[in-house]
Amino acid sequence: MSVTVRVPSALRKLTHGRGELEAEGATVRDVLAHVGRENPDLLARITEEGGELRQFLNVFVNGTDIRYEKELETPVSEGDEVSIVPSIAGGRE
Amino acid sequence: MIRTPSRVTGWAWFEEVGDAVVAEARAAAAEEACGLLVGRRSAEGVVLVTSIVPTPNTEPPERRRNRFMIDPLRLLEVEKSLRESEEEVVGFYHTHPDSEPVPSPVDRRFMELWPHTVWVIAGFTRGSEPPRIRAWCRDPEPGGSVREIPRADPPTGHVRGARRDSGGVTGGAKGPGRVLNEAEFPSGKRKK
Repeated sequence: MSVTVRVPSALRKLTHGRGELEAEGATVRDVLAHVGRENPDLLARITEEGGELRQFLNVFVNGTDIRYEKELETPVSEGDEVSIVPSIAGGRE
Repeated sequence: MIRTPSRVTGWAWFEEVGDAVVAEARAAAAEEACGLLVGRRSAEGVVLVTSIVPTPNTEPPERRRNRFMIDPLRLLEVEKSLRESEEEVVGFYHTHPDSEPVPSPVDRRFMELWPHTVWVIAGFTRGSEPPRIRAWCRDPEPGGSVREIPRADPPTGHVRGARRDSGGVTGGAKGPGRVLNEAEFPSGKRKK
């Protein structure tokens, strides 16, 4: 399956300036691995060494948070849009 | 085209943008207000904020006095709306209802996730009015530190009408640094 991966502008230094990446895969895990082959710095920022998503990192498939689906095993279909968005938060302890 | 983010060397915003952030800070009163900063980057790494998009603080009500969170889907919506423009989400703002506009330890933890991004904080220190405003950035290198970004004056002669974008306000603010030149920033429609 060919999908589009969208990266916020703040992280484009890690993708050679690209905000839109094409990737292949049957699941989100496949897609992130595919993207990571050409963009290892991005992969390192969004996943732990074991391949799991880092804390405070959100991934959406067509706008649906994969936490409400099957996490990294969420299936993707041809033409889907996978978006990577770190959490935006703060405050005092 | 949108420039690949590089080290942020300075920031500026138009007066109405600053006024809008202060208005949001006052309206939120004892709770933290927050939102997105939209703008452009110069080749030298100066970020020009041209508008804000206020966003709901999605923390539970009892936590909003000292915590904020922005719905990531709102960021996706705004970035989508900017795809054909030269502008991008260049940062975030939030308010400190009763403390200095200095990143807290929690702020710093999340700043680490957002390199090359401006974090503007409006802080009411001991009831100060208007709030004090400072901007910060975390350098992307491993172990990079959080540093304050020097403020510049916005380009002169730049005229913008006020715009509201789902509650967002745009506009024009005078800062105490060097005056930027409009030609430093990309303009016009982005080519597909």
